[in-house]
Amino acid sequence: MNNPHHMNPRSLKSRFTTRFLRALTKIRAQKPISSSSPTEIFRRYRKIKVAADKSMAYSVRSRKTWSRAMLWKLRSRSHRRRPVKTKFRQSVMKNTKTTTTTGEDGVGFGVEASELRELVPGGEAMDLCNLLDETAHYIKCLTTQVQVMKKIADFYSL
Amino acid sequence: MASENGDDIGLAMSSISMFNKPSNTSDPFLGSGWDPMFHKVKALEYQSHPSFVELVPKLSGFDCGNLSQMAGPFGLPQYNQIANSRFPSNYALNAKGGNERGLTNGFRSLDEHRILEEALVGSLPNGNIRKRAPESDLQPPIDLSSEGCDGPKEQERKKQRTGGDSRGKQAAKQDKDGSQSGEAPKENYIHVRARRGQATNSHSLAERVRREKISERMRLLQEIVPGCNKITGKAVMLDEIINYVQSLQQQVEFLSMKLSTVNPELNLDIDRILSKDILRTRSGSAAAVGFGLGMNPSHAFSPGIFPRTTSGIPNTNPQFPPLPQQTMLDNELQNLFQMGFYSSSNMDDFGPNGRLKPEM
Repeated sequence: MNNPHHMNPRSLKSRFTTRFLRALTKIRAQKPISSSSPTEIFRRYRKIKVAADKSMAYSVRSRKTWSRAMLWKLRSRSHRRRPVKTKFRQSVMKNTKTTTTTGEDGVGFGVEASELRELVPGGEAMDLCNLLDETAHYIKCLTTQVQVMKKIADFYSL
Repeated sequence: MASENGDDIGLAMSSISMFNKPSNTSDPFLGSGWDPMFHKVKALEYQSHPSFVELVPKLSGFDCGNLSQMAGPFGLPQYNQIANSRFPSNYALNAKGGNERGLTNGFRSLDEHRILEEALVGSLPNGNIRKRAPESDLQPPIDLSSEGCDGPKEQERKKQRTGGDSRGKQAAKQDKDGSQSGEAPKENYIHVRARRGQATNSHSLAERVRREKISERMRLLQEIVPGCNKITGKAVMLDEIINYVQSLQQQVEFLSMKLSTVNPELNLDIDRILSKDILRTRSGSAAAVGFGLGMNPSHAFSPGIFPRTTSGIPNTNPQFPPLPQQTMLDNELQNLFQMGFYSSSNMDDFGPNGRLKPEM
């Protein structure tokens, strides 16, 4: 099967790939991997994970609630000097969470829906309908992310 | 006049005959607005049956859902049945109790013929039994926002435009209240949104719409999440979805951990080739995923993995520096990698020259 060399440059996958590769090279350029101490590895792992999430969220921009929430979270994490903001946000989220989850129609989704809300970023403040929408898109993006990262990992692991 | 017609309720023909009388009788219901209505209805060219046309504004005054049933075949026999079943009670109500209601409704609808259009068209899409061509012609004028007489129209608008929600609910409630005396079964039959035997108040209708939306989304998710075709039931489905999302997130973590231990021995041009390579879709990642998950992450991060897998796979790039340590887990990991990670996702992509060669 012949695949054309040029995939759609505007697709989610290509956007994510370019961003993520850029971030990876940047991370790699910071320190050489000569030291294989676990702390170093762990730190790098965190950076890479953040880079992956960030590049995925940036590829989606603000089109989806979960990407906005993730970007918000990432930014607030980087500005960790101000704990007040995060506390405020947490309290806000809690308030919205209580109001939306108690407002469910009696479909009996309570427990699972709250779990799903924890999983999907920004899911606390969504009603079930939108939550399912966001979940679908989030799953699609996660699968893309996994595919790309797997290929990269396989490539590098040769 | 009204009482006389009330007596003839049982016979459809008689009720039809009542309407066959000229419209300029002094019927309180079929009053002044009749003629214009009549003409406008005719102008709709919906059908040519005179009694149907005459009956239409009457029923539109009360419950436009009638029209959905009648408008279907446009034939008299069916019309008979419908007139039989519904019309008598309709007319009876108008004759007796809901005079003002029916009257005002009737006049209101009579004055604006477009309501009738809307009623016809609004009910038609609602009619889950029939669909026909003429309705498409009349679809555009549906954005009339006048108080309708019918629930289905309101429901239609409610579905199409969330802006008018409160109004729609109010109007639907009014109709329900006005027609409540003995009309509940009839309403259930007409308001297609509220199926037979179900509650017809605005809250439950809105809830039903919402539930339909949710179930539609669940169906979509069912297609996305692998292995959910046999699952029926929202709770189980949600559990599956949650598990899948969790597994995907764990995979991302695992892969990023893996990437963090990898040596950046490759330079930029290879990165470009890499990106091209990566962008080629591989859908067979399910098996690899399974293996990736099954692997204990702590094992996978030992650098000893990589030289082993290097030996396992043909490679034209000999300048990979050998990675420092090797652990005793190499063998099983090698097997895992070869079977899981590479079998489904990579082996097909790479020709005999290894992965640096774009697949031709």
